[in-house]
Amino acid sequence: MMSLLFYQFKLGWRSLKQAPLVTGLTLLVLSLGASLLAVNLILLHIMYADPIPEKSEQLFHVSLNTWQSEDPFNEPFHLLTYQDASQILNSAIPDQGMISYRASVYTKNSDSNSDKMHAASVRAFSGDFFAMTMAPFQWGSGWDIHLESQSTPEHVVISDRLNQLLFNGENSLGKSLTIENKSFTIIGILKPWHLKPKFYHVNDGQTYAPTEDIYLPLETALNNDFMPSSMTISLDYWSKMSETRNSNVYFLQSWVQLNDLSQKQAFQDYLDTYSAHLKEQGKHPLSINNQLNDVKAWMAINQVVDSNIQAFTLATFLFLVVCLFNATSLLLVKQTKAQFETSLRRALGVSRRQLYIESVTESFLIGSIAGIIAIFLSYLFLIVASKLLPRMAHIIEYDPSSFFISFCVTLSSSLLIAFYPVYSTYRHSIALQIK
Amino acid sequence: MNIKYLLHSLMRRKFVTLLLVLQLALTIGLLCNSVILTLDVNRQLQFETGIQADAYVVVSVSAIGKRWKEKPDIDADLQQKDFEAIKNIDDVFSVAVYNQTPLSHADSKATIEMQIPGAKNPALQSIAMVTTDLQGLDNFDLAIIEGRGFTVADKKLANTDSDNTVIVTQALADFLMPNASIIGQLTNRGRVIGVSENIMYNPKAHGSAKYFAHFVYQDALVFSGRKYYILKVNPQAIPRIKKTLAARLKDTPDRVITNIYTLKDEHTDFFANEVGTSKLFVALCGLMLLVALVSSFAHAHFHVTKQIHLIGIRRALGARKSDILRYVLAENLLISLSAFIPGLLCALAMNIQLNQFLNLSKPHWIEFVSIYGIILLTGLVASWLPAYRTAQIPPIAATKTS
Repeated sequence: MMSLLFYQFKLGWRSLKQAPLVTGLTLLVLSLGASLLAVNLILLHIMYADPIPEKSEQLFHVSLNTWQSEDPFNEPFHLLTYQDASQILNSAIPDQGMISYRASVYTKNSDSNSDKMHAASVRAFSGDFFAMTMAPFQWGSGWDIHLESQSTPEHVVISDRLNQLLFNGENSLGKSLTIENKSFTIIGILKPWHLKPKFYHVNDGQTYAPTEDIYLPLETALNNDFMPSSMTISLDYWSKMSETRNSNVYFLQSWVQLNDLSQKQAFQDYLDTYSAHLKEQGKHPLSINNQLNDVKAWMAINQVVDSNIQAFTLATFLFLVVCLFNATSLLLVKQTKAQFETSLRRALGVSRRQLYIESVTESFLIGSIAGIIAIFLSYLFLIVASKLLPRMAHIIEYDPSSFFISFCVTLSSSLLIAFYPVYSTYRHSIALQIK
Repeated sequence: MNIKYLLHSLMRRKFVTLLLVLQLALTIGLLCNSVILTLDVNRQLQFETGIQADAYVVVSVSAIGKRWKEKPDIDADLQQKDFEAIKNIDDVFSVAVYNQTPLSHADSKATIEMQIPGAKNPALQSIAMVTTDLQGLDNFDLAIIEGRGFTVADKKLANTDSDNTVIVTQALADFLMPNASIIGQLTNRGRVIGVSENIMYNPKAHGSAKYFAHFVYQDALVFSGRKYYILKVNPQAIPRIKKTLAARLKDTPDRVITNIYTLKDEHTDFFANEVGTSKLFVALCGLMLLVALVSSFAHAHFHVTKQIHLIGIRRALGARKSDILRYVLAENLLISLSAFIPGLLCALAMNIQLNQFLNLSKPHWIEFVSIYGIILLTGLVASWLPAYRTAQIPPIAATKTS
């Protein structure tokens, strides 16, 4: 069996060598078309990925319709005031809940002799952020969330990236970190953590941004006046973060974990009752329209998939179609050239089935060689794409599944185009062809 | 040249001919839309901005800690020293401080609403709010068209909007009060004292909304802890000025210089993804032309291989080499011509499909005809080699049988 297979491949290889120009062009065209589409499929695969498959159906983003005037920014609005967010966090219905915002600060290792401050991003939150997002800890842990409201300890958790930058990747538990001229104690260090997309903050250009460098309690951030570096809308005048506790400043996002439909319904009722209560008090004039969207629904609403990539995928798919047509024409040229020899072999007793097997083996051979070329081309195109689309650069990666996608697209394309040339060659009578 | 005979010859190999026509049609469609995309991006980049972007250098400054907030004098002193250092640099004409830069995504926005008693006052959301100093508008060469500019008395100190004064751009003034003067009118952001020339603060907005902005005379650091020194300079001296700035403006415990760049860089960077996408499409165009070249070559090759005996007979009957050359080229030209209508349909269909993802202009006949001309030329070039080779075959070789 193996020797027969080997013989088939040998025949296929000989056939390819007989027409080097046509074979070369076929390989070029196939690998170009398939690798370009494969690159886009790789990008789409990353963008459509479920960032937290273990619980994406249990985590819900909360949007409330409690904007305090008749011209709402959005209905319902994805940002919450401190009071509304606290109301969500106080509910006992969800298994877990969190409210958070993003800030930008300057930081350094307190023990460092250098005065150089490094820009860092902050996730200030209240609630079960680490548990809900399944953030992986390398050393230490988060703070006790039950003590958070009673005291505001100057404790922080830092990312692996910041730990590498400031502490050379060593265990920095208990060490001091200066943030905006104030000292904080490190109580946890995360492992390298990539969320693609960063589902808990898909607005403000954060969809594919790295996870934050510093995590600290919300109250600590408010007390230390860490200004939001994401969308913040206010109906009142304010200048300090501590003032947001009692102002109509929309800057917080909230997520809750609801494990089943009844829990979801109960929490929806809770939100609607709260919203209706505010309306009765004259605090907002809008209809009762609060929404709970799970991770996938929230990704869809916020259109996390880059429209440029979608458009380019459509274009590259059409390009592949053109390449397939082209490769079919090239194979036809090759078959036409070899028609006399093929017909002679048929006349000498080689069965039509045998010739079909030979043709398919040849296509498999072409597809495999083109597939290997396509893997290299895909890698090249990904580098080009990351240079040309700087905002996408940090999501582009080339892993084993990318090799597989490139190879499979090319191989299946090759087998697809083999059909017509083979059919075209063997449909005529032998007598006519060897005349 | 007998067209009927050529058509008949092509119809004998309908499948291959049809494949080539389809390929050419798809190629025309993709090329046409790629060109439209590239032209659209260039148009966006070259849209009138209201400012000479390559004559401005931006120094981005971030405050550290809260000292500047608790003691604003510290920041004022530091800024004073920075400005003295900046003004001493050759080829720097003026400098002012702002809370955000034009020609990019506006970080600081506010809702604007007229406060006219008894009238319906709709709210206009996400309007760029530019806090600046007394030189802010002059530094951008923005003339006051109506009303007056800021004076020292206009500086916003109180924590309310009611006694505030604002200057709005002409586009915003025309939108808020199309048929009357806006000067002296009260808005939720303050009383309008002046109307300035337009400047772009929202490059991706449609029409005149690109220029919607209002200016407030206020310390730029108040909200975000970030501010921008924007220097009007001699464009030829920018590399030297950037080096000098980096050397003279040092970080302090209260603030860091985060970046030094030009407004033109900012504008280009803002459209980086669009420019990148259009470059990807242009690269795809190059590959499409390469594939079209291969297609036409393969088709001409296939066609003459199939007709080798016929061509041999024609040569034996007196046809010259140039006749055979013309015959093969004419065949290819005929195929390219037959791709005109399918190509036009493909261009339109792809435009509709791509518009689901991108904001593409409608195809224009000049773009289509240009692309079509390129495809015709590519086909002729690609079929020349098979045509030439066929023309060189002696009648005896072409008519011999194995």
